Amino acid sequence: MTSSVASAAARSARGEAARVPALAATLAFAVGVVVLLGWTLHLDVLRGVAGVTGVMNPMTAAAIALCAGALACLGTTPRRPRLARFGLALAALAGAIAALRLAGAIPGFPFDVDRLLFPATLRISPATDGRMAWTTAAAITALAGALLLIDGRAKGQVIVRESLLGAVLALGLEAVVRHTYAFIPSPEALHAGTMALHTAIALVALGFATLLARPDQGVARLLTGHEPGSVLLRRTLPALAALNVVLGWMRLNVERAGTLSAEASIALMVFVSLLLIGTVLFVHAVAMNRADAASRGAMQRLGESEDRFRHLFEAAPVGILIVDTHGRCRYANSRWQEITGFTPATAEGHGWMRAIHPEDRKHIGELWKQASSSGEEFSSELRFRRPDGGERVVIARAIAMRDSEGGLSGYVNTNEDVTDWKKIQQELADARGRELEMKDQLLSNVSHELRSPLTAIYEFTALLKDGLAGPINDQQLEFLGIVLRNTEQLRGLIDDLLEVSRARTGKLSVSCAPFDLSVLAREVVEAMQPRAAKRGLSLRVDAPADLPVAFGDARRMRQVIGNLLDNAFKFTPEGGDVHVRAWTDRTAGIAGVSVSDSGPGIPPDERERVFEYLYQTNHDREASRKGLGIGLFLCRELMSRQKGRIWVESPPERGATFSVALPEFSIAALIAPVIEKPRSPDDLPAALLHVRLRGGASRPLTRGDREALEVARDLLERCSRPGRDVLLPDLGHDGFGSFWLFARANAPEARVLAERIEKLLAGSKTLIECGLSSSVSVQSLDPPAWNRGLEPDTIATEWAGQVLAQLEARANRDEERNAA
Amino acid sequence: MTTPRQTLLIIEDDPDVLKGISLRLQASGYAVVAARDATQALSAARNAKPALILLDLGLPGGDGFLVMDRFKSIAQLALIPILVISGRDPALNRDKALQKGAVAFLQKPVDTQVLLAAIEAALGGA
Repeated sequence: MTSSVASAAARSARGEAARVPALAATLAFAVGVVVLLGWTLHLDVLRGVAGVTGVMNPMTAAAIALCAGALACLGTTPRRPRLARFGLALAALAGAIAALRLAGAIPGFPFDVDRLLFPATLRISPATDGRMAWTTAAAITALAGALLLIDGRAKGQVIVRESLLGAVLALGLEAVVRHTYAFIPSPEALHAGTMALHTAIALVALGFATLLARPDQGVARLLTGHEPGSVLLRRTLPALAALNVVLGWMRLNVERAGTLSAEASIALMVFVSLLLIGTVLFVHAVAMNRADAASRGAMQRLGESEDRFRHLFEAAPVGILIVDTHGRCRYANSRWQEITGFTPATAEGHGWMRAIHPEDRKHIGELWKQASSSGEEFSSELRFRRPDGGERVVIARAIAMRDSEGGLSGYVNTNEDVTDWKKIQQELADARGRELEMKDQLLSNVSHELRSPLTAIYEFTALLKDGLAGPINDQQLEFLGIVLRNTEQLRGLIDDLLEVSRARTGKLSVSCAPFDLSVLAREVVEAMQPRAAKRGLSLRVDAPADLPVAFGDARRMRQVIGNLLDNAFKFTPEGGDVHVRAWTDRTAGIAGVSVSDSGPGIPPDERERVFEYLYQTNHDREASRKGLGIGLFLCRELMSRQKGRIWVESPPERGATFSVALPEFSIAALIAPVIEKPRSPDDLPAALLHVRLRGGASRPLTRGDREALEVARDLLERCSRPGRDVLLPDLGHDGFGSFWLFARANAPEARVLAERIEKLLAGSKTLIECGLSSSVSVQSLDPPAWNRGLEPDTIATEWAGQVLAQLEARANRDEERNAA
Repeated sequence: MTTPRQTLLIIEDDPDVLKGISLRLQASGYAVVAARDATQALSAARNAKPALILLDLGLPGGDGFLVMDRFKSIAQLALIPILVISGRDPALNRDKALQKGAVAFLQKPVDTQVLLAAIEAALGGA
């Protein structure tokens, strides 16, 4: 608190000091102008009274006014260069006036500069010739010199300037004292050089003001400072000066009156001055001691506070590094040294930067630049490399430090060591990975090992049932049928086990293509009819022929719908109904299949959970046949991998309806993901690559060729650039061996891509062995019209249309060729 | 059935499965030669000159794929079609088996009708 008061005091001392030049300049300028007016208008009282104040020479008045103007121009803050140059010119002019008057002392110098103005009336009384006093000329020369040097900051310049000002003040004060005691040696002495009183006051004011115009340098700094010495100087100097002048004046009067002898008056004066000086010093000594005690207290508290912070920093469990605005290390706590293995000496300056792992430096530097330019908090994970070769991973954060005025003073970096934590995380992940792998392996082994005994059971039962081990009666036949049916069920469960292991490890494969969901639904129902009949259920299918083409994996959909039917059969009592319906929702762009049963339904709280892994219903009629709790989980996994969905509805007392939906097939939807929002139509290149495999003469397709097709598709998938190219599925528009690749590429890029594909296909052993050759043609697509908007969906629709047109054109050409 | 009877070589380490399949194939009019491991398989193939080989993948003394490689490397056996019948995951083994020259991959347990159809197709195509 004390320090803030002191600094406030210093600020106010400097603030007052800053007002002095303007005030003094105004005063001196006024004096100069008034005197010049007095000369012009012959008003004696304005010029000064001879024998009382003395008369100011008109050139002196002009020079003082010029100096005042110069000071006003030079003392302004902030400094204005043009004004300052003008001020220097004024000062130089005043200096020239005074210097020329001084030069008049040289015998033979013809030019009397002080007689330039009003030479006729200059001698106004016999007592004075009215000329500029030598002391005045010297003081003005010195003042002008100091003003010319006002912006000098070098030590020598400051000393010269302040010496000149000291001379000004000495000459001025000497004249003031002289007038105070009316110590005028003789009227004749006046012309030899006694300054007029108002000249002296004006010069003292200007000299003092010029000194204070640069309060941050030299003596002015001492005078305006907030240090105890400066305060003492400011307080005692005026008091002592005034005291001495007053005492001297009193003694003079006492001596003149002759009341006391010279000895007695000296003794009295010494006593009184000792008493007064002692009192002044005593008062100030007490004040200074008090201030010193306060400042010591403040220092101590500051020290304690610093200690607290240092201890806090040292005890902090995170590494702390403080850097200045240039990134130089200012402080590193012991935890930071511990993490990095750096010492304060090795971290000094920019040395700490070497602690950052070389591979991270560039990246971290960029992040840092970005954070410091945007003013955001820097936060990143980074690695330290210790001198001993060890590596530590830390979470690094940095915040800007600001001083009391809001200026940036540096950054505080905290580094939290997460190496061990990371290691544990990694170990956990590895352990989990191993566990999953083992489980996967176990499931795979179990399913494999179960199959051999199951095969034997199946084979021998089938042999018995087929009568290959002798004739069997009807009941035996029925029983053997039951064994076979259960074998089949067991086989299904083993299959599910394998599938779920794939689903859990993300290896469930789907390969999507356009297909007719209606046809598929009818086929699945057809295949399931015997089983429905066996259970005494009625199974109906309702599949309109005009359903839109769906996009998904037909084989997987067969599996999903089969699974839903299995469930429906399981939960529907004998004599019940199972109804399969294929449907479409054109607005949502989906096509689906729903399987409804007349079973007990599913309570609301279970409708989401039935799809969970290992979920088993409690409402199962056949408690002995709960299943593994993976059938519906698998269905959901398969649907989500096909970008479809599955859900169940179950109105009370009306059974359950499971529905699955797939997106309608659309080329636009396929290519939309690779189209970003473009900046302009020029940013929108696209091409369609047609890859065609050809056999020799038109020979029929063989098994090997089908494999070759798969190989070719794989190769093309590998060629296509992720996020830019889309290999379209087989759309059935054109014949065998035709592939279409949509590429976001301009003509040269498409050509490069085509060449790469040709090269890769030509180098494929499988294709060569099958005797297949390939050709690639490139067709560029027109960008959509600018005025139709540039939303990716719009563009995708436009291009999809162009792609379809190309495909159809190709199909028509093929047809015509075949017809010919 | 056509005469003379065609000989099939079954390579299978599980005696029950071996017996069951053998009985079924014999009942369907084939002559059956059995082998329980890789060594037996090679000598049996050399002696019996089978028209088709039914191969299990998990065998003692050598993985089924190695057996296939051996067969394919011996000129007089290389042309005999091989039908793989295995309990292994088809997703992981079918492609490899076909690549190594198998005519088909059937997963255990195999439906009788499917097995007989696959054998007939393989013999017809050979």
